[in-house]
Amino acid sequence: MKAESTKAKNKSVITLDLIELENTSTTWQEAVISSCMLLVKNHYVEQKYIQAVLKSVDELGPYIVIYPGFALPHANMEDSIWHTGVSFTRLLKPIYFPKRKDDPVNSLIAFCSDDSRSHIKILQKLAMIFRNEDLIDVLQKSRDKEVILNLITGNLEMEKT
Amino acid sequence: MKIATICGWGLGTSMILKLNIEDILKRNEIDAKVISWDAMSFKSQDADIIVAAEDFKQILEGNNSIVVLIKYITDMEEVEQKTLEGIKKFLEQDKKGDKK
Repeated sequence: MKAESTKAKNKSVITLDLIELENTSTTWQEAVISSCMLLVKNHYVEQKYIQAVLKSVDELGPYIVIYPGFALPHANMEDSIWHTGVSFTRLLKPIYFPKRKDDPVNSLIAFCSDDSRSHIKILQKLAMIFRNEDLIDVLQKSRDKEVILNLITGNLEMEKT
Repeated sequence: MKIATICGWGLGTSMILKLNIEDILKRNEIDAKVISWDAMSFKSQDADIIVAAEDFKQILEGNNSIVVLIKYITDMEEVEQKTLEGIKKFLEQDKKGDKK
């Protein structure tokens, strides 16, 4: 299956199929693979993308742990990316990355970019979410995939308490 | 003043860091250019200040730029405090003419 033939220009960056809320991974590798598999299964990236992500954590360290509890697995392997996409995986039990033994991670936001403008918009939204404790709380606790979908796509209006 | 952010691939975490720093510069009315680099190719580049996740400490050792290391790149308080410290250092060096 050639990448070109499956590129869908109107594909959404995130859908309900890309959200998993009760993942049973028990190691960081399993968790990273699970979160990236959501992108693979839904035709956003090829399988080899996962190897690139694992390799970058091995070689560069867990720089993808961007906020307490959250990791952002990603890689820039252009020839394996078909469309910009974001997946959200919440683990039932936290995992720990190497060299970050005091940093439990229970949410993974896997992200791939086809270098279009949409990836900057999504990153801006993620950056904004992490500035708001109420929104981070929603990401960590909500059991409603629709709520999480709306939050990441920026449609959720949160009233500040 | 040129500020560079680093990440493994130059498009994810370095971009989030870049967005956060641009915001901080705007709020503090500081004029600087922010660019994002990937960890593999940054050595051929030049910047006054480099802001990166702590994990990149080793590859940045011996670098001539002022290096700012961040634990959580989305933690605005941490990023703001450490980046402003780095900028202060740079401006002091610049004044003294010690800039390399």
